[in-house]
Amino acid sequence: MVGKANGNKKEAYMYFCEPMGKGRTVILILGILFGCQDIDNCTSDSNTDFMIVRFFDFETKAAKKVRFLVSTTEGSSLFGFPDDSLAIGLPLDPMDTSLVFVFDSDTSDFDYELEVRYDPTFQIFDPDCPPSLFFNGLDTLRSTFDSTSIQSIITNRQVLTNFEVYF
Amino acid sequence: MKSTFSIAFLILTIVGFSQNRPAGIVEPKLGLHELKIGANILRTGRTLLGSETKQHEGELSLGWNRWNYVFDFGTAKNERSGGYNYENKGSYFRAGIDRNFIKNVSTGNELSLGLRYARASFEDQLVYTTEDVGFGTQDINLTNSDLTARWFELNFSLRGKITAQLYTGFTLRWKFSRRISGEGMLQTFDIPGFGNTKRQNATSIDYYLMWRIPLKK
Repeated sequence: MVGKANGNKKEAYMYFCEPMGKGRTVILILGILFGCQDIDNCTSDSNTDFMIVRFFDFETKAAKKVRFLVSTTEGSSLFGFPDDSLAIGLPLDPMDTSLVFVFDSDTSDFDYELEVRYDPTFQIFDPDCPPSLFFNGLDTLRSTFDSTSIQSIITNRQVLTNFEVYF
Repeated sequence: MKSTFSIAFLILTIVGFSQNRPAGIVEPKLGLHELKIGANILRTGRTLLGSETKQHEGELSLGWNRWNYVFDFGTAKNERSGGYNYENKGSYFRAGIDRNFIKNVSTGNELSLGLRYARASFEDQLVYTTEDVGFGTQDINLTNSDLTARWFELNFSLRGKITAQLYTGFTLRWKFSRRISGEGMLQTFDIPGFGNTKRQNATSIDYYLMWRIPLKK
């Protein structure tokens, strides 16, 4: 039993410590080469084409659940958020650099407006994936909420909040 | 900062090697002794074999004692598609100097380490139809018509004689300190002579076939 164990140890030693043969060298080189290849795929793209707006109570500064129907003043776009949400993701128009969102709440007669500016940027993330879109330089141009605060000027998967809205 | 360190390290290495000579031995001064004219057969070969990147590149190398003054010029055209069309085309040049470590440089053989400054002028275009995310499907047609890029390279080159005045060999390149200007809404994906922009730095290997013209008998 002891002899067999020693034999295995010796084999292991020979396998790892003796000079490598040509075959193993080729395998090692191929392993290194393929190990260095990009393993990008479309799902690892961290760009996003929408901004995230998070809501807070103006008095208490506590997170606030909202139920909004959001449209843009340009007319056609309508985004519904029927469930109570602490934050909503709003797509931005890549053919423009500013957009006015109108927030219609079924619990209030008053519609809030938020006008934002941004710079759309297209990039080829990976040639095998569709072009990627993200927005940079986000800023508030006008707001009828009590207060707004910019948390991140870029849209990205790692970003949890672009705008904080207090009302 | 990293680039500054790399350049300083390279210069120190080259100067260090050039001073590592046994005392009392005077190296013969060859002066301007050769001109090599060549083509990058790897890039042209890939183009002829139908690669999506169409590239051609030439090289001029002037031998002055142990130093080679090198100038490369090339063109590249890239067409990528797959639900979109992306085209990138332009030209580039590299200029720099190599220190030849071969004992007898008059043979034309080379084993050298060098530095290059490279610059590309190019344009790119993306044609794409977006998905409807609330604004309808949109036809995107973006063009950057006046792009420039610059970068530096650390090169390791090997050249050997095949026959008569015909030489061949490769150059390993480490490309760093890249800067692009002229981008609009579209971020460029390819830079002629550099490669794609996924990483800030890049490496490549080029294979040359060169004709040597001796300038000293």
